[in-house]
Amino acid sequence: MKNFKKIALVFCLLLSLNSYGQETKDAYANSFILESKFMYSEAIKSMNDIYSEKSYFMNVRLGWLYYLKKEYVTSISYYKKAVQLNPKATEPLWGIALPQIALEQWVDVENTYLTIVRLDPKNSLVNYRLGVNYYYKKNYVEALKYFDVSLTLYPSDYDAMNMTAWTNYFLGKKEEAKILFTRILLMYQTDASALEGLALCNK
Amino acid sequence: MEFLKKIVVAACLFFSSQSFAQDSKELQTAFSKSYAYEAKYQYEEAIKVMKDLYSEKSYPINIRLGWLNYINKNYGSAIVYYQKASSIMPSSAEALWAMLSPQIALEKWVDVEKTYFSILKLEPRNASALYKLGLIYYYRKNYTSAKKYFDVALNLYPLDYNTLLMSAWTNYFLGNLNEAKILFNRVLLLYQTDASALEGLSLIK
Repeated sequence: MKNFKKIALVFCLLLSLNSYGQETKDAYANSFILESKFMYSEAIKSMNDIYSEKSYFMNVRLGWLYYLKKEYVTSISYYKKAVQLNPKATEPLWGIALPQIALEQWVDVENTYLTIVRLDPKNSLVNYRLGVNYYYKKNYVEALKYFDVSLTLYPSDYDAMNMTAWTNYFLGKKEEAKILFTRILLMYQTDASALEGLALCNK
Repeated sequence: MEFLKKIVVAACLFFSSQSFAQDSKELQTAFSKSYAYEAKYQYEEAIKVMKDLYSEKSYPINIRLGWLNYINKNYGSAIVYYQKASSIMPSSAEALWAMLSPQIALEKWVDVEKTYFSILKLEPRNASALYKLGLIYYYRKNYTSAKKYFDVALNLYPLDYNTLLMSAWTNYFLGNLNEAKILFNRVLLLYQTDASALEGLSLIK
């Protein structure tokens, strides 16, 4: 199995090598120049002229360019291809979340974050974002599960602290909420959200 | 195990609650003053304010003193405070990342390496820690170990410039010239005139 993987990898690498001719290099270079001039359609055309469905790099690049062009559905389709080509990479998943958010496809965003968290279980950002997702669905038990991971890794992170405080508050854990709101006030003495939370806890 | 963790957390919260209830206002004032002094680059005063109500068991105070001592270039003291913060909250990656700054300033590379290992225990897929460990081994010419860490980082973020480039050079020094060539070429797709990638390719040709 290990040998097979290695052979497959070498094969893919050789395919990639063949595809990096001068034409490919120029197409990428042009697309970066055109992107910097906000000429997204032209940048896309430059990439499409040399498009190969099996190239991770091209699919990520097109996913990004279509996202910039606000063609979110097409962007998602390219990122999905990149994910299929490289299922262990979190990079295209972070990429795909952008057009999904733009389209407010919250179920898909959640699924994307859950996929990231499977690949990178202790990623504080994705844990925080999943927590926020469940918080706004008023699923505070689930929200706390993810906020906890994030806050345990980064105990002074303002966002994680604030959201964990509010989540605890809505779960009826006023003592925990109070401690966290008070900690926020150590860093930001006039923080409106923490002051409001603390006032509610003290009622 | 999960239950035990909860008890520990509950106990920590209880003790924090006690001390916060007693000293909450005083603490807030001290933190606020220390931020004001820091903004004016008066680090000694900022440290003094925090030290006046120092509690060995407080994570936020130890983190704050670690930071203030670091910017005051008291690197040895900064490390001590960060170590205390880390022992109060051993699951905090934050305290470890912070500790790296004074360790790097003192060029304590063995300690830096250990800190990155500790971070990876908490965040096994942290691409930045993986990349930095790869770099440490690369500069020690331990290319086999370097490749191990660069590979994981590159699998997560296949288009990251730094990881691509360092993986390319690592493969080059390991004699994996085909892999190095592919990676240098990928760098050149991102930056067509990248001097390092061009140099690498010219060595292979």
